[in-house]
Amino acid sequence: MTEPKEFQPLDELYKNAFENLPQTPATSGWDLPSDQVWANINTQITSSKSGWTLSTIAILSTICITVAVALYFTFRDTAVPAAPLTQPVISAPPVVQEEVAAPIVAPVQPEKAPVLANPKTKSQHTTTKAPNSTVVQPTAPATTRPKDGASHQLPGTTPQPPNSTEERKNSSKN
Amino acid sequence: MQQWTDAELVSGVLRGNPTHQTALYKQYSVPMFRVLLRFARDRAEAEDMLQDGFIRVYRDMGQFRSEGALGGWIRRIMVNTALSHLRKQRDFLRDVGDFTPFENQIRTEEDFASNMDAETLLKYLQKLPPGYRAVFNMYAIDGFSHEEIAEQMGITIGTSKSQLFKAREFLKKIIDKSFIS
Repeated sequence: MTEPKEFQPLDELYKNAFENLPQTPATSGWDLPSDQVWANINTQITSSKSGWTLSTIAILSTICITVAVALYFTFRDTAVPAAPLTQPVISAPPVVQEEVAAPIVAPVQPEKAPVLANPKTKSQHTTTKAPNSTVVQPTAPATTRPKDGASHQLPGTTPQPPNSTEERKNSSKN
Repeated sequence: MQQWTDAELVSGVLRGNPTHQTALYKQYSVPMFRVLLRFARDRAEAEDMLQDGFIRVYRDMGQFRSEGALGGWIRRIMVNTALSHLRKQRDFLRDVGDFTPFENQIRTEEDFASNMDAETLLKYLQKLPPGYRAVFNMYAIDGFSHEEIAEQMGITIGTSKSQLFKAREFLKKIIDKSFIS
């Protein structure tokens, strides 16, 4: 709880002296601040209005540096894995070509077939008829399409006997 | 000089209008300087306080609520500015047991020949240690209670009371001496 204030004559003397001063400054100038005060204030408020104080510049510089460093590391990290990715793409096709090229190696010679237009060589070609794709396919075991939609037999495997269902079907047909 | 209303000054300062900024300073610099002279030890320190105080006023003008008078709001900022200046002084709240060194400072012909106007009373007040001066100003002239002084200055109520007692004793001694002479 606030105690009641106790004023003494000295307090009253000071209060009256300072509260009842005229609005205009004294002729002696004791209560008039120098012009330099306003000059300093004006400089401060004008510079702060532009917003480019030292602290603002420092904060903006820090943000710019942080962003630049972050961008550098981001792009550096993404650039490193990019190089190895291109290599498998280049090396991969030869591997595939080797597998595919093996059965095609034989028909390479028949590619000279366009020369067949020459009638002199026609007989030679008939005797040594190079296998083309249509001829090669019947010789391959995989081309023997199984009946009744059965699956193809894998090359290098022995043919399996029909299962019981197939046997029943065959027996019923017979 | 054109007199502006508080509302005009506030809106002008908030817009950054230089005319209103200058007008605000011209209208309030003298009364605020008188307040700060009571808290400062000399004119130079009062001018520093005035400069810092007005910069705060322009910066914080957006926080002013029109319910109260603009002059009262500016005065509170000035008193707070003065107290933060005083708190930085090493001898803030120093106790003075022996008044002799301070009495000697006012034994000049000018001091004894003066009458008790505000300027003379100010000279006596500025001889006080900062803590005495601040508490006496706030209690006797600005109307603060001991609770408010303790809160604003970061001291106990007991310290505020003892500083006020010592300030009064100090001032009485000075004034008595000047009258006797």
